[in-house]
Amino acid sequence: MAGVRPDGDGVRIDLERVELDLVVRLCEGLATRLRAGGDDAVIGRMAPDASRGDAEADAELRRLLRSELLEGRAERLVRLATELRSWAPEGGRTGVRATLDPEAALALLQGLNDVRLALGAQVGIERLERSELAPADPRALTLELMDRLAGLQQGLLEVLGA
Amino acid sequence: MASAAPAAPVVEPDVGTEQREHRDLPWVVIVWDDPVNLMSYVVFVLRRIFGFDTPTAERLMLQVHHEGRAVVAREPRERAEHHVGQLHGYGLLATLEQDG
Repeated sequence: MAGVRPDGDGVRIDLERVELDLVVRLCEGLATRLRAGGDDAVIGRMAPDASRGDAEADAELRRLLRSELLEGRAERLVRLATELRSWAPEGGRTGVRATLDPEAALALLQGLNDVRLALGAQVGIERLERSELAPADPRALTLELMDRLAGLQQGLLEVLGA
Repeated sequence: MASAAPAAPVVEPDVGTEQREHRDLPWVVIVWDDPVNLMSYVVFVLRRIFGFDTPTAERLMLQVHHEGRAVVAREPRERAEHHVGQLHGYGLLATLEQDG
């Protein structure tokens, strides 16, 4: 069970090894996806429109901001995944504990948010009625995963926002 | 970071009043509601980017949540673009448009 506590200026975080590995894989997978480019719901959510109702101005802005935004995000996610991998203990221990300075805690908060936004875009969360999903529906499992990641985000926010 | 304080207005007799007023209108930064970002995360991001105190950030977050959108800044275009880029970096849905 993930735990997040204040530790001096920073944050102490306890994770199960399996949780850590999952977050690493999600970050790396999203970075790869962002660098592959194209145009789908995930890319759209990661590089949203900068204006509405003015297609010309938007096209101009999008060209300026989009590739910068996507590559910046991918770099951030890869850096985070590398950092998270460095927490992994040698041998068979199942628990992981790390102490993060405020900058690293912010990077984790942003990375978790990116991953949740991407998962939400993948399942079409804007149009999804959660109560109508069968428990075995893969989208229901994705929503559960998003909840777990949100719990970790909430813990970080309680420490960082205090 | 570009800090574009508007220069003092220069009197340009050749420019009609209406045109000048349009050009000088500030831009607004709008944050839109979305189903994924946590309310506490939105408050955190607004505080961090704009330096709002917590009550101000919470009021704007609740406006986004209940009304679907909120104007979080009124400022020159360059600065508004910078802020929209920062908000997108944090994963918030944000746009800019000319005020008025």
